[in-house]
Amino acid sequence: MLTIILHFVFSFLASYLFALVYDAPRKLFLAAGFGGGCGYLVNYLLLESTNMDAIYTSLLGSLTLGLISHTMARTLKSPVIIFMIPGIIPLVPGGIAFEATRKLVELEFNSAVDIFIRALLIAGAIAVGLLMADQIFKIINHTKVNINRETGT
Amino acid sequence: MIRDTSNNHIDEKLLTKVILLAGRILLECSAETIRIEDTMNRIARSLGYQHSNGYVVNIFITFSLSQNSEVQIIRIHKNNTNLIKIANVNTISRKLVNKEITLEEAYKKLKDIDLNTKNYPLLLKTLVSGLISLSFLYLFGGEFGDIIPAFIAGSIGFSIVEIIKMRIPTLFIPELIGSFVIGLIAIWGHHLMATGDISPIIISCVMPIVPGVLITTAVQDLFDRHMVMFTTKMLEAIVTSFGIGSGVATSFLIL
Repeated sequence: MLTIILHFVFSFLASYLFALVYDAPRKLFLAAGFGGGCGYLVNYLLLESTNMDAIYTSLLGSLTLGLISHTMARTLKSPVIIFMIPGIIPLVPGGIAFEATRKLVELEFNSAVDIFIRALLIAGAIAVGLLMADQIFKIINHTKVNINRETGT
Repeated sequence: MIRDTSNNHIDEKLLTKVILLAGRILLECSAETIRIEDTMNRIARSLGYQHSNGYVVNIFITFSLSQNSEVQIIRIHKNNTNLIKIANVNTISRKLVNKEITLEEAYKKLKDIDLNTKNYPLLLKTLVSGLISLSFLYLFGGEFGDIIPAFIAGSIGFSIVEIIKMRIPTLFIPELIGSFVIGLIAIWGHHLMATGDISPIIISCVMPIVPGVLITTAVQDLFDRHMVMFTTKMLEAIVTSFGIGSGVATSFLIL
């Protein structure tokens, strides 16, 4: 339990501080950190408790992040990108990409290519998660606009 | 010929200026393309110009208010990420569309945003990037002995990259030098103070200079069918991360 809380705290801290590095407005730091922490927590819990591969867990993590940041963008009336950019950072497959680079330096090309394709797939999974959240919110917005039009005329 | 007859009282030149200024600020702060085009068209539409056209590529904006007015082009020279400016421009365009402020006030406020928005000081950012390295050190499972070298390497590497970026606008060099220094400090400090695996400390120190904004906005551009913007941004991100990787690899080869 303590590890889970600590993982949440540190991923929250990372996103919170990244919001500062990218010059976000000061009142939105907490929200950005919260989104990043939740996204990473989903990824971490699924990775630890189930048998799923890192590719699928990062897909679900970034889906969570996207949903949370779209909700916050609607409620706080700010661009969604402010919550997404710091939040995505803890999910980035830095460790795997680094491992691939190290294998390249050690001239083990076969395992380097293997690991690199893994990193690429994880990055793609994060992108697809964000896309799904985007589309879900676009569909919701679209129906809202249509309803307004119907009642307006 | 289509004419916007209902808007004779609106100063077209000022309106074009406001729209282009908003677009330029957003593009310079590397917002997503759909947000830039949407903002420009929405301001024009709210003031009665239904046939405005805008096109945004990574270095310039073309915009024409209606079919009778001139086409304006603005070229962008720098690319700084600054999320405050994006949020503030968003607020002002929202107010302008809702008719809460006039065109003149909006122009004044946008000028103010463009010239007077301060970044957070570099020293604060340096300390913060050290703290970022520490929190990633926990997430990647580092050791207690790694804490001090991770803090030093993370903050020094970030400040080196920022300082070089201010001096020369080259793409590849700042990350190469910064990550090379990070590699030197991290490997040396790790050998001095800790035992065990070296990869957690290096990954966590490199984290503050990872091109997160570029990757996120590039993906959003891809799914909004802005292929040119996606290609340029993704290429920039790939070149940057290749710089980081080769810097670390060089320090590995030397030590």
